[in-house]
Amino acid sequence: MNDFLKFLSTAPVLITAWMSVTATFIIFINFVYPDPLVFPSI
Amino acid sequence: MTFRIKSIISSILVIFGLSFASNVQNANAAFENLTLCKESPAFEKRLNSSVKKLENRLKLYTPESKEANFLVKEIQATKSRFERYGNENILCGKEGLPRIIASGQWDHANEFVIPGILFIYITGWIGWVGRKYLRYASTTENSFENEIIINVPIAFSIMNSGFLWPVEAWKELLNGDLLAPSDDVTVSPR
Repeated sequence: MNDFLKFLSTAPVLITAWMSVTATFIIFINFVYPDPLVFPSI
Repeated sequence: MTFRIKSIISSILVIFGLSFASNVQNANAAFENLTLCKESPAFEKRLNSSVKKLENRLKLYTPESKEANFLVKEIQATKSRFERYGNENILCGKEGLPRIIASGQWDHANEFVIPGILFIYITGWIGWVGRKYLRYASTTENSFENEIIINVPIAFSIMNSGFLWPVEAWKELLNGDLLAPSDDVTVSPR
């Protein structure tokens, strides 16, 4: 188990996970709020 | 030596200032060629032709089919996109395409200035916490291993503490921790 956690903590695995989360976040924003051109004014 | 650097920096600043001043005039002059998108006939024309193209494609498919449903959705999305660009007070060129005003004036701040500041803030956050983590790693026993195998709990706490990075960076600049002393920077023999 410890070895597996160590594997998950290596830089390439972490960057893959992190970028997947970021990509999902951006895709989700674009799905909910499509075609943004300017920052929405409040 | 320092005098030379100072004169180089001041001449760069002068060039910057001059180009900035002339840019402002240019931007003001160009504004006269722009109209509000919702009042622009060319913008309206673009909306109609975009919708028309989609409707022509819609005719090729039987109603309620997967493709037809997609195209109906696409027509709605196009209409709402044009409506939103019209309501957001964006300026359009003569050809009816929206323009982003990047001159920094406040009534167009949401087009460039606010997203730009957000971009600098977020990238600064990422860079700042990365630097913080590297500095933490360099104090540990296996500094190289800590750069390859990340200590996730500590990295997370550093990431979450980075939101005040401009303040922290300013503090470090004042107490001399932000920049490396000149003696530490290697230079090629000259």
